[in-house]
Amino acid sequence: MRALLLAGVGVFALGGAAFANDTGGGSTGPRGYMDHYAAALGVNIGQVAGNRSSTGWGQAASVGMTGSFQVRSGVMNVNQNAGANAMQQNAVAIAYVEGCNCEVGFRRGDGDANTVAVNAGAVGGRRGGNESDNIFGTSADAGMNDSFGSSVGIAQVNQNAGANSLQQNATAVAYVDRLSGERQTRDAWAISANIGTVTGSGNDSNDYRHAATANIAASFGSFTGVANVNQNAGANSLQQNSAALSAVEFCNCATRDLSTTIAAAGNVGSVTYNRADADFGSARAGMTGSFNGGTGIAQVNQNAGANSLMQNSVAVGAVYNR
Amino acid sequence: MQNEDDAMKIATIATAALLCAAASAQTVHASDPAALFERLTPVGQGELAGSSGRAGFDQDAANLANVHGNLVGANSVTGSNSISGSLSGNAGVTTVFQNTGNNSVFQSATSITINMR
Repeated sequence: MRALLLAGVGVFALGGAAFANDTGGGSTGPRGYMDHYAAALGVNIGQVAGNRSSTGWGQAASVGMTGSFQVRSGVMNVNQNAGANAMQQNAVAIAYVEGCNCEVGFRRGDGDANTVAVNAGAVGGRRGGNESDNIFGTSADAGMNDSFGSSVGIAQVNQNAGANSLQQNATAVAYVDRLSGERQTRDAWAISANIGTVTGSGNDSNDYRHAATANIAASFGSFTGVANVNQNAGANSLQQNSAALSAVEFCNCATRDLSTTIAAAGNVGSVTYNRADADFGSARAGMTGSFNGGTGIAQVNQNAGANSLMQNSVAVGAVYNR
Repeated sequence: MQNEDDAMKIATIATAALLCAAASAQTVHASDPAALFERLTPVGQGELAGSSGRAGFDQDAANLANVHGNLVGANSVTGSNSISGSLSGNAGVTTVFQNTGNNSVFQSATSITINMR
């Protein structure tokens, strides 16, 4: 098998704080400036092209997660793959500015939180398509059981047991709080995007008496935060989730006050000129007892078919008084 | 192939636009505000004094998809979708797609703006 995988992963984070006092000697007035800046960038770029995979005679491929990531907090990125010629990418960027106190304190307060999370992936392309053969009693199973219950934060999960597939998640979060100053300016912007193609000279999937299953059970109960989940057991598929959240919290203590939020979430996907053949097999996507009592954003894609594309995007911008 | 070229162009343009947006936003932030708005009529001090807590929003969610020219062999299976005992008692945004068919497109875009005083 000839394999070519080009993957670039870049994560860049920048934060800074400045305090300047220009009130002059002996002044009892407010101090000068409170200035905070936080930026985060998460990027994945990858390509899978020109590969060939063949399984047969009862070979079973499966990915499973059971009793995992319960009551956790923070950022959880999980990729599981048992298929062939597949790509999975997660990008998270978080920028957070929290000043000291919500009081006048300074003459001016300035807080900026900027984030960008991007995935760019291609399965196929100029280097040639990928080929996968599953024949005579093979199976592909992507399953999640009893996982991510009561967890808090960002969970991005990709599970794949299919072939020639691309799964991507991107989440950008920007938040500004607790600035101090008579004049306050807050700026929070978050951009998240996925760009994916399953195309090119054509990916080829041949299944014969092949069973494909994607299933989620008893998972993500009482989850709080952002949950992006992709499950795939089919072929030539593209699944993408994108979420952007920007929030500014103010205390209404400034004499002049300006808040700006920008949230942009998007997906660009292309599935073209592929071929899938699934004779005398089965395909099933199921969810049981999951995503109950949750709070926040949940985006779930499940696929057991072929040549499919699923995309979710959510953008939330909020300015609110403490 | 022409379609491959088109797809790669779309991806390249989208990436460039994203990075340009990020770069330009930082450039504006670092520039002199007076120079940026010198051609505009300024708002009076009295009006500005009453602007406490004002907010500017720009929220956008979008998906662009292309499923084209794919082939599915004869007698290919399409299976079952099922959801049971799930997605109840949630607060927020929940989106679920399930598919066992072929040559399908699913897209969901949600944009929410919140301004609380």
